[in-house]
Amino acid sequence: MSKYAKLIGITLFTIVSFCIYGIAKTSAETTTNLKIETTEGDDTYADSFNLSGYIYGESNTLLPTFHYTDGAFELKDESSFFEILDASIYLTADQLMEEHKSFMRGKSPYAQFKVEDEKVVYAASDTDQYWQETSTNQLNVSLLDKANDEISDYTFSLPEDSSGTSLESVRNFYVQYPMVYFTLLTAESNNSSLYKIYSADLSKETPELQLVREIDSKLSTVDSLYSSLSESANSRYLGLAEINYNEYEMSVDSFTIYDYETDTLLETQSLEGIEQPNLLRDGENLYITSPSENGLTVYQVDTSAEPAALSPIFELPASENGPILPAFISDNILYSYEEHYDSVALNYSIQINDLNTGDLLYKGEILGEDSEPVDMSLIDIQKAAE
Amino acid sequence: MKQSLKHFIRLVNFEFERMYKFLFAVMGILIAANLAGYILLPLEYMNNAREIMRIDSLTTAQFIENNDPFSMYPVSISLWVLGPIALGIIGFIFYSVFIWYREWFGKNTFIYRLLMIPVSRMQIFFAKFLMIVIGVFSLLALQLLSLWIGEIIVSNIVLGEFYTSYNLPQILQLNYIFQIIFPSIGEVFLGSYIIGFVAVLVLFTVILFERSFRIKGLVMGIGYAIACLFFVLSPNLIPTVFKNYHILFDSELILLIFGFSLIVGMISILLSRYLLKHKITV
Repeated sequence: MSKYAKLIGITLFTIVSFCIYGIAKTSAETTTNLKIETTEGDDTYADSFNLSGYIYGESNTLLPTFHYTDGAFELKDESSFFEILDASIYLTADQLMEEHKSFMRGKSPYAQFKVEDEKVVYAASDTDQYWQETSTNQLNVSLLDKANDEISDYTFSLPEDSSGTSLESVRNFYVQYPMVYFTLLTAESNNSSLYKIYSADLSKETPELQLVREIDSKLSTVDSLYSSLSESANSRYLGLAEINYNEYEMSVDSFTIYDYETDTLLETQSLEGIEQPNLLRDGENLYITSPSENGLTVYQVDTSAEPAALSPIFELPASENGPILPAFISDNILYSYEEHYDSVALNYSIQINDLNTGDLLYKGEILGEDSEPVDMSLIDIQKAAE
Repeated sequence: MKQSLKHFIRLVNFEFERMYKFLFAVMGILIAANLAGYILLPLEYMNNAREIMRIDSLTTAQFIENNDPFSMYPVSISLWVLGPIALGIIGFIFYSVFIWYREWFGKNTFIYRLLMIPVSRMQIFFAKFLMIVIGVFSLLALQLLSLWIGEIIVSNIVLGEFYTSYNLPQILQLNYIFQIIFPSIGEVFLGSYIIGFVAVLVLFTVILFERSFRIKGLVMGIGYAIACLFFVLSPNLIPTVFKNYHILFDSELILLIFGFSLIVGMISILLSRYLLKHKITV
């Protein structure tokens, strides 16, 4: 036995060391569980939105991503390794991965999805899915019928009269089934970039892309212009603006609203005096929000006038913690968030206001389970499914 | 079966007796270098801190405000710690080759006696393979122990506000190299080391090709190794073939790479068995 002493000794040392490390690792693991603490209003609204983001660790490395859905937080780190691999930080893509994984095969989680009660529509250029130096000028559209999980795939090429045009990406699209309207960013032969509106009728046997209109080259889409979050709702309106760049600042003089259904462009009145305007859409209604000295001002856009007039609806009072940033509007309710840094952590509060009266319906702060602030970054906020 | 196992353990012990001097030497260098780092670096920090505080008439709080407190991070990225790790990796790659060639080119040509032992030749193969596995994991275990002891030493040299304490799992997350060597996710740890040991099996097969057919065998072996590499990495080409980065989910890609690695491992074992049985003759 003594002749095996060294071998047994080194083997035991190795096994015991790893076992002790495993135990130490397990006992040292502190799962940062989150909660939303209602500070004002009706806490039933806490179920009306979904969130996703990252939690920061002590060594300033990103730790688990979290999702907040159905009124509860889920730390992605607690899922199995393979679930973590396939999870997306973006709520829509992640939900589709969980519920319709086969539909998500070949789909970029960063591309455009429009999710409705019965259908999901996906649109992306070939370049969105696989970067190529020379664009194939193909647009991939996929339609999922949720009722029977039937998937219909379409591949569109730019119309024949598009020589010299290279399709770069899909910036926006609108579904009014069977019509789908796309806002495509194209590169032209004169090295300029242009937004173009195309449409396709999916009810046809061989649907084709039809050019609807070219957008003035000075205009760009304005989704998430002054906000890190973007709206993903299926809106008939596309926000455009001429963005002016002065050193490190951006500014816009006015918005131009494109209506997919009527193929009309409508310019708003001058935005002079309206700082960092964000265009928000809620069905047929359009709103502009702007941070002001006293908080956040919400304007309604009157599209019956030309130029479209802006009338202030209400002003959300400023918080002592920091600016209020708009997220989205749904069913006449404004969802916004506060982002404040207190030298320890970057943390967030969610605020919900009635759009008609400005009344605060709900305010909640995202905290750790011990009611202490948690250093985190909010990536996505959406309306929860009803 | 029992007899066979007894022979195998004897072979493993025999290989260990030949390896332990090398292993203990590397372990000794690791301990010595790490200890030097655990003592010299915090002492240097404290000396610098005292000097700066004296020259600029700073209090401890003022110094900490403008300078990062010390922690195991600078120690873990220093040559005192990373050097022995590199030495261990290079050492074991070298030893994986040496473990075979010593049989032919050692003081005595031992391979003939080894192959004459009334055991399956694959037991010799697996004994050598197991030696590499034990050696690598024992070094890893020692590094874990060293870091744990190091944290105690450093925290006793750099006191109070000057020091940010981390536990062992946190120390392993501070450093990119440690994140590769000690992945925090169990599946990643297991998967990456299994793939690493498959690479050792491929290396053994290349050596046996060379020993069987000499120069021609070396060329065949290198060709085999390159083919294995391409085969294992081939799932990464699927997005290129389909011109879609998302045609495979990340979990599927990882599983394919892991599965292909296991196939390569099996083929390497079967090829090695064939070469040992039919081509390497006494």
